Amino acid sequence: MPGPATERSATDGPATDRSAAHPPPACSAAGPPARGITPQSHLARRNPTIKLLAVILIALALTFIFDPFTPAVLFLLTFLCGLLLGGLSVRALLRPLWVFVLAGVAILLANIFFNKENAVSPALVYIGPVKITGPALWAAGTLWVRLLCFALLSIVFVKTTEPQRLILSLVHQVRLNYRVAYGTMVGYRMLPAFQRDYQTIRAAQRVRGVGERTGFLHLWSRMRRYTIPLLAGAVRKAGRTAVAMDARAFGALPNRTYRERMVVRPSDWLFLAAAVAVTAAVVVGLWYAGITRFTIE
Amino acid sequence: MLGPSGSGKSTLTLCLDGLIPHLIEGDYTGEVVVAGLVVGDSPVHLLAQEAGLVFQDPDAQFCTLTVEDEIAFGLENLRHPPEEIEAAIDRALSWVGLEGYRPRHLATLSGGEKQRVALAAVLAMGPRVLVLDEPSANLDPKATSELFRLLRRLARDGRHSLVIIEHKLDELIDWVDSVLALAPGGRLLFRGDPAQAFYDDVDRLSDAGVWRPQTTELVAALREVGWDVPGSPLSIEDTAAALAGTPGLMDRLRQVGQQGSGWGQASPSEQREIHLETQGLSFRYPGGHPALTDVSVALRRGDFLAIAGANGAGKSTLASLVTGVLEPPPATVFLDGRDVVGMSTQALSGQVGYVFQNPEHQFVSNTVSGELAFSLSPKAGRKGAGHLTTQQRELVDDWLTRLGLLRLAEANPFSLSQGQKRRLSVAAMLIRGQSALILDEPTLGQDELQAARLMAMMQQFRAGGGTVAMISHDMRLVCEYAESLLVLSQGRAVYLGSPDGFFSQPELVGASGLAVPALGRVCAALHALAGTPEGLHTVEAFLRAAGTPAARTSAAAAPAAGAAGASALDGDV
Repeated sequence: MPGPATERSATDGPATDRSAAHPPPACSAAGPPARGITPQSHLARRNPTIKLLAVILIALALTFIFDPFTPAVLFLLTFLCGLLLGGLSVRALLRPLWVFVLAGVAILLANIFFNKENAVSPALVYIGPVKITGPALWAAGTLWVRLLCFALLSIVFVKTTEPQRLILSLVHQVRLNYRVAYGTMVGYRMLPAFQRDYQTIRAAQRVRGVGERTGFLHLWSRMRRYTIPLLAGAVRKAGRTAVAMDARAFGALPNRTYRERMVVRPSDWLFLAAAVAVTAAVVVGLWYAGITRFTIE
Repeated sequence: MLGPSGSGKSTLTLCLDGLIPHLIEGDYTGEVVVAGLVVGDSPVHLLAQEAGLVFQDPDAQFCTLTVEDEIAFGLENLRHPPEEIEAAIDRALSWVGLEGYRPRHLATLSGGEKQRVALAAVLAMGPRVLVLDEPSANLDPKATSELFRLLRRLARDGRHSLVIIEHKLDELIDWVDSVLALAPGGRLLFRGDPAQAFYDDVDRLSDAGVWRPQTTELVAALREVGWDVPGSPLSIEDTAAALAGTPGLMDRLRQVGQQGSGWGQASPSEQREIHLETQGLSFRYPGGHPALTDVSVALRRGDFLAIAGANGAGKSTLASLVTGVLEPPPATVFLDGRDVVGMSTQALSGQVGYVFQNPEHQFVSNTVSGELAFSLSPKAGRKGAGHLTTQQRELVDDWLTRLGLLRLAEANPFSLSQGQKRRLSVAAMLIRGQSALILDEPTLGQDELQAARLMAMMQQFRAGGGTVAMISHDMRLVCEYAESLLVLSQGRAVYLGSPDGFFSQPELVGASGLAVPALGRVCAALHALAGTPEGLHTVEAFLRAAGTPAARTSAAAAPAAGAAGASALDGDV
């Protein structure tokens, strides 16, 4: 098995097993699982940039495929991969998909009414005055399964990737400017607080007798009422964080060191190659079987 | 470092770290020297190693996600080699007493732990000067005491100089070497010895709105009525000793204690009708642990109830349930004897006001007058005062005058000062004519003058029959203003009764994550020292008990029996 994807950033010296160097402290039982210790699942140990690259390549392949069956097979494989290699539960994998399942209805309706093949294709069935054609259903099915596949790829990626490891990896492997990278991470850190503030502001204004009227006309005034306090708070908080970062010499020197450095190991390259090979095998195999169709003939 | 809101305290701390003038724009003249470095001529990364800054909001000063990364952050910026950083993390964590917290996510820490991590992150960079900008503002009383104990240890080891901006002076005053006070506009008001600051020059400081240590307030008040308190005591122990050495004072207190509650307030509230009540209220957030368990409390008309407890004890949940922000279970919350579950949010919020911690969250209008107008008629709040009746417009003007905001009627509420924002948000509640008001930490970040003005508003509201419940971490405020106190601990009501009764039980106070206010500790020290009665927690209570020394002749005739007096009092409390 490949070792952990992180190691000391010392230029020489062997990779030290961090879990051995820092045994989990007694108090960690009180908190959530520790970060910084070797991630457990195979997918979580992969270098985030390489993993991201794999996701992007598969997603790119999907955009050239125009049939519902090929993305369905890839969906299934992604699902199995998340289950077996990512150590994710069925619930964790499928639960966030419900929005995208609902989006299928919108895609279907859009195709029934607006697909440009509708005018020239024979009707499969009429629902009242609405004509439903084969190409409309085909396109709707394809787009829907493709969307689900994109979504699942993202879910598997997000749930097996520590944000901080991704940021570090983008700095180390993609040479992203570290100032930009840390700025992004601080922004990410603030999102939950932003959500909490939104809830508080809603409650705070409701007790002032602000009706929660949902009409379209009230949308503007409601948005403005929530946005101004939310932004005022966020801007102030961001300013404070910026000062706190500056106070600790962030960006004062042209470069910085890293306590842990993300590295790309042979096993990461192997993972990428396997992902590409499996995707290619599925597409080529189904194409031979006459199932896969492409957007560009 | 002391001064009212907006007097430039934080600005001065930024100068110590070189953020001013290097990174924050503005006109900068004069010279700042920190640890031998001229700030204007030294690069920020050198200054960052000499002066470390800890800020008020623990969440806004973190740059990473875990404890170890947070401590490493500054060292990485200074290009320390990784091996050194690993050792420095462990060292810094042991300094702040957080061994074993290394891999924890910052989001899972309590407020007190977060501030200690922030301190460790700064200490790891090896500064000789530590600058703390209201580090306890977001902490509960117990976490505050722990943080101050830690700071005191750091100050004692002789390696660090500390600069602290703080409103809560009571915990700090006995180990502060010198005091710097700024006046509005950033002018120097005072610089020198703390005893001089709070005795000789105290008028200048309190006129400017600076919080004073309670001990000095007590000594000044006793002197004013004629007691001859010796010296200039600051700490609890010195104050107790000085009071014990005041001719005649101990005899008087012992005598009053023996007579019973010579200073106890008669509580006429039992005659008034119950206004707001919870009965066996329990609440659990969806998917969460119980936030409140079996809380029963009744407020009578005109009551002032304080709600205290450690962070996360369920105070805000209780407030949310009573005000309809959260829906309580049926038959648990009653307003004038009616179950609130049957009432609409609108109807309930017309009766019970809820002032949130952050005034900005409740602003709904573009102008100050619009905020008040909105409460009278939402349409007028949106479209301008033209939609108000003449009577309503007079009411708005009347409130603006009372708030001192008439000049700023057309200003944006976000542009007001902290104190003005707070008073406006309270006024926007009161103008609707609600009969009960719940306030969540109303004095947070307010200086003494602002807090006093806010409390005056509350007393006026109560005089008109209004009922007040106030969540607060400020135990001094609780003792001075609240009639009754509800203490929550992990969602349970562990105490309901007079504030004096609670603070006479130090074990319960500690177990609830709270702290006895300074005068309570002076009282306890005197009790141990001279057998004077317990239960004196405010300047007012001391004055009532002590009376004036002119009446001393009659008091001297009574035999002094300290222990007996104290036990007689215990029964009374």
